[in-house]
Amino acid sequence: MGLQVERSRGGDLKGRPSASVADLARRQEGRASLAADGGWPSYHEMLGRVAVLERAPLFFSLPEFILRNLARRVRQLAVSARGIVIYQGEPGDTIFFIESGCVNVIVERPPGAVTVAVLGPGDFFGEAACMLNRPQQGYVIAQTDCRLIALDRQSLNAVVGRDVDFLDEMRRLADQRYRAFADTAVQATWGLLLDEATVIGLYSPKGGSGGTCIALNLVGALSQAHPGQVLLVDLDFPYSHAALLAGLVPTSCLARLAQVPSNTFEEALLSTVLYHSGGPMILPGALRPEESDEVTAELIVRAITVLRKTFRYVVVDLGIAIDDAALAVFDLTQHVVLVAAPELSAVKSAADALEILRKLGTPDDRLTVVLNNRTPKPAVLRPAVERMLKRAVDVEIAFDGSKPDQAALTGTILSMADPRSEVGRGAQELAQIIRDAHGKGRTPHLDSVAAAAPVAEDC
Amino acid sequence: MARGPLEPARVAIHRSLLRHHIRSVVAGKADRLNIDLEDRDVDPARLLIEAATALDRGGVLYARLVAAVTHSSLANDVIDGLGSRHAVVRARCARIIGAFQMEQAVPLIAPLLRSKEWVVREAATRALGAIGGVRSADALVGAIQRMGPRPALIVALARAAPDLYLETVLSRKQPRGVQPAVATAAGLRCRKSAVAPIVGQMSEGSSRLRAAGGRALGSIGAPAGIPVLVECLEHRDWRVRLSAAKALGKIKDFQPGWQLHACLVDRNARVRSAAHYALRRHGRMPNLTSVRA
Repeated sequence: MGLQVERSRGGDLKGRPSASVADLARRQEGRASLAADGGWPSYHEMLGRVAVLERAPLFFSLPEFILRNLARRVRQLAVSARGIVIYQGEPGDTIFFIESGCVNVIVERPPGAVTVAVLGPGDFFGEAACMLNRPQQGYVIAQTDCRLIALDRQSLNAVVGRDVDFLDEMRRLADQRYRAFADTAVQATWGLLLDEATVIGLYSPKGGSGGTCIALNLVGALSQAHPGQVLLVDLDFPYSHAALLAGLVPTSCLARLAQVPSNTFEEALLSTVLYHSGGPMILPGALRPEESDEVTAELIVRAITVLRKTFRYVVVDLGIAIDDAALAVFDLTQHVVLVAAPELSAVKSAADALEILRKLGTPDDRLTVVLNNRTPKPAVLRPAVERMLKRAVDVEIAFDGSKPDQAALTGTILSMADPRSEVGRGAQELAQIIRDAHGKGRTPHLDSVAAAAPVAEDC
Repeated sequence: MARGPLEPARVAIHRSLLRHHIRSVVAGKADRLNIDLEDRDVDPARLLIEAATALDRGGVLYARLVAAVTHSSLANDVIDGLGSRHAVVRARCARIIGAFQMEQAVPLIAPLLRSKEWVVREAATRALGAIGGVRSADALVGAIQRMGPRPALIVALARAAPDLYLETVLSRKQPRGVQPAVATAAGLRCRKSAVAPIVGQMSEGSSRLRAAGGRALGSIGAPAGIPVLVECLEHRDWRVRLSAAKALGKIKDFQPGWQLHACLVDRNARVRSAAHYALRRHGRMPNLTSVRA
């Protein structure tokens, strides 16, 4: 057997990747063989490493010579898709920088597991374990084939160990990210932990996209499995028509409860809920356009806090505006459904809304995109929509003719009355996604999303 | 020089004075450590390490001691001492470097792993384990390659290796003897990320590698390793069967099947004992009658 580990000029040991290393290593044969030839990184490799390091916000303030010093000490790793880079709860001593590819940060909190971040090129992870000596906060799983740069604690201390201010700044940043991920995980699972209702926000950034229709049919689909336990809160202001579309005549609404004292609020709120014969329930937000001003963020939080204890699923139909009320709902939701129509302006608005939701900290696996075709021949096709949104459409509802309008006239819910209709099928599919993500008693397991894959040293 | 009856008392006083000097530096009463690394009576490295271990690692006192050792003329003396003619001095210096994690000295300690004196090799190995990092781990893998899988080297490698280092070493071809040592080190680290590379190597590796991999999977307690371990129960080498039986006893999620029961009548007594132990760990009382039948 030939010598596979060689001592190089710098005293480092570098090895050739074996034939059994993942296919990724084979594909990067040129680079790997280059790495096996010499101990020192080549000029271009150094440039690449420095570029990755300086993209990370951790190292913005570092001068060039320190970055080069760090770049000399890092390791380059190749991880194949679905490979687990970090296991939750284990100790760690390395910060990983993403050179290319994407990884998911998944926090497992019984009874669920939630994706708290999707990190791409320039991002980094593992800093909390390395800098704060805390166990790894979550699993880091490669979404695609990834190339990482690993900087271990000893190398970091050897280069910047004397710069106390810089290390303090790094610790502060690590702590800040640790808390942010923890908050996101808690927010996504608190309903399950307390056995309270799952709150689903349904947001349509452009009027006329069919948001209310989908909300109503989603409630219908969910209530088939859980009759009497699913509520639709209609906050699509200023004209709330969910009750009208379901053939119900409201006599009161959420807006009129603003002045109700706290000791009678719960009773008054539950008496405002309308019951549909098929099982779903509806809480109108406002009966008159001018009443919508009464529905403040505080009132919504108060109402949803009460409703969570009574129902299994609370679906909130939001209007097009992202105001205080909508932000309050986003804070309370465990799942957001974004409805887009295949029109240029609607898709552009949906892309903007997605960006906002990501900035608000909505985990990617708790966000579902629905494409609702309201015409037989849509102007923008699904692949174009996905390109503009930079993510896949989860549910597409095909054109359903005049069925939704006729259902509104008769006050029926298509997902219950005609499950074979396009709207009915779409709503069932959406309900299944929500049940899979939030259903009580489910036993999520990381094995379903990831498999341990070998890690190959790239250089 | 003949040692008189008062010699032990003189050495004790000397040691006490040195300890007092170190304490005064820690307390901030003195800013320089005056230590003779070639002192024949007292081991200054031991006293320094003793003082360091008694202090809180994040505290001011420890920082003061580290500064006195690493940012003073003593650091130069320690580095110079690595090239001393006396093995004891080289070992002392290596121990000081390890205790105070002077990462910059790794390239100077690494050659000491080739030393003919056992005491120097041991001190260098421990120092590299304590310092850690890629460079230390590289040096230790090189030493394993040259000298074979020695326990001290494996333990030091387990301590020194940063995240995903052992996994990458396992994923590439290595000279004979390195892979089993690295697998054992990965087992000592108990990181789940090592399971996939170990399982991958076990399915096509030598008997030695399979035995080491089995032990490692047992230490990690990885359910993902159960299929390959069960397969190893029927291996022709008793060492492989032994490590597989022991490992399966340690994995909580394992449901014992006929393969483990069959090991109760293995021709090797140690394998039989390990199978017996594993079955008891999983709450199954061994039933020899059914196996023989």
